[in-house]
Amino acid sequence: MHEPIVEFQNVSFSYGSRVALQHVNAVINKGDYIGLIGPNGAGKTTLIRVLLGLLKPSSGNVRLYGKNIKEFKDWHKIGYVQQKATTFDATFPVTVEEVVAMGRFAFAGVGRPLDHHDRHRIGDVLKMVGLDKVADRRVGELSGGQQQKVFIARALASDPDLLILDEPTTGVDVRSQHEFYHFLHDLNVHHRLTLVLISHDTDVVSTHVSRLLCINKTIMDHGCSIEFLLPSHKHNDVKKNEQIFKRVRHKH
Amino acid sequence: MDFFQYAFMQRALIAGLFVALSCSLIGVFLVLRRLSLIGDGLAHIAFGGLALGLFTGLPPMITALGTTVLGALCIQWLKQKKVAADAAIAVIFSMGLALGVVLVSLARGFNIDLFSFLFGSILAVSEADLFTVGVLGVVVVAAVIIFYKELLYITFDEEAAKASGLPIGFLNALLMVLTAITVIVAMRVVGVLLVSSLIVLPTITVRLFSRSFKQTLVYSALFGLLSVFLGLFAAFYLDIAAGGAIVLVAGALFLLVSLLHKLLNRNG
Repeated sequence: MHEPIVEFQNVSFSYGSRVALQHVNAVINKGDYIGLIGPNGAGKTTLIRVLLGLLKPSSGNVRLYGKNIKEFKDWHKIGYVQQKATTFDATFPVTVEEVVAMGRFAFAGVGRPLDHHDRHRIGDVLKMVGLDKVADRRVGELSGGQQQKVFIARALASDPDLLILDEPTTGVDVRSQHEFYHFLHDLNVHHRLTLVLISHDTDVVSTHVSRLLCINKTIMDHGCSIEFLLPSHKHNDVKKNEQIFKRVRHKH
Repeated sequence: MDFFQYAFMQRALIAGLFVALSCSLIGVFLVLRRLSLIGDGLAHIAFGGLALGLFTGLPPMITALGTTVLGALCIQWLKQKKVAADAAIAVIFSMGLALGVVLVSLARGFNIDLFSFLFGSILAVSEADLFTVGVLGVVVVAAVIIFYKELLYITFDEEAAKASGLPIGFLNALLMVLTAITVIVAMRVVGVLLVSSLIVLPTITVRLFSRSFKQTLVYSALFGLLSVFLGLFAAFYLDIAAGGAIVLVAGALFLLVSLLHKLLNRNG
């Protein structure tokens, strides 16, 4: 039943002398909808960058689809949507369609232009996220929410099996956020995508995901303690967090 | 038009075609990656390589090509060692110039040839030069076409390109080497000291109005061609340095387009 697609085995990572990850052990199974949460600087993004092969762990192993990460070649199976603010120059002359097309580049070999099938898939994905009407617009002209969709569409265009989203709702208004989580739910349930949602916003994330992974340099074995979720220890928030836990456990 | 009857002018025009295409196409990637100054940095290394050729009696185009490609790979290597891009360029920049200056002083000055390499000349393109420029120009244009998708991806979003499994190290080194080759292609007609403006100006002109990446590449090539050909006409009729004329035309086109853009946007 449980088919592990990502396995972290005792993974540690340091930036120079600063330890970012320590003995991380975690498994992501096919079909999971995981919320990866933790305070700022807890190593959430670092863990994902290790998963994507962008950083090499100082010790420990990562296995993807049962293979050691060094032997893993099917990178198109893993879609990754970065935190938008750090990656995007709004004046860059590139259309929505051109950005989404990048998701197909992994399939087309070097020197081969995108073919009919690729174009078809790009059109499908644009329709799916509701951007088909603005396909010819420059990405920088769109609203924050629409830009976020462009990057999600790019990740989806590579027909991923696992979709990782790093703080995807930063700078997106509440109504669009609601719509967005609905869309993710649909991807998880109807399109059978495994999802990993990185966030520091415990409240919002926990209402949507089926499992929480709490990280603070290492994965908390016994779930997320309330103190861990809430560095400020405010009484009201403690109560709120208790409710969140009940909700998530209930779903489980 | 007596213009086309001169063999030297025909050679300058053919060389100009390759110069315009390679500079403006590579320029799009460099400007958008905020590496505009790299052309200038590599041009200074080319100067060192030229001086080496003139000093040792080896073909200067070949020694310049060798040192410039080597310098480009050094910049890439320094960047991988976490040296900031601008610092890496600055280091290589002055090393090339230092080599050139030392060689010039050793030789107690050079002949007039060095001046034409620095500022470009329509008289300077020999048959052998034209062959070298043609081969190198075709290499640059072909590489941009073949690696179009990959170069676009690393230019727009290097991290995502890496995560999708593209060989980032190779592609970055490729762009550096292509830039080095472009500098050598442009050296005879535009001159090493003026190359970087011809790399940057077509792209920043087109960015004023272009929406898509493909459009940016195509129109940059057109503006590059227009600048080079108008510049060569001016150099012929006014008897002025070709490189200077080409760069001034490119600058004037940029001003013209930005004025037009402002006017049209105000009315529209």
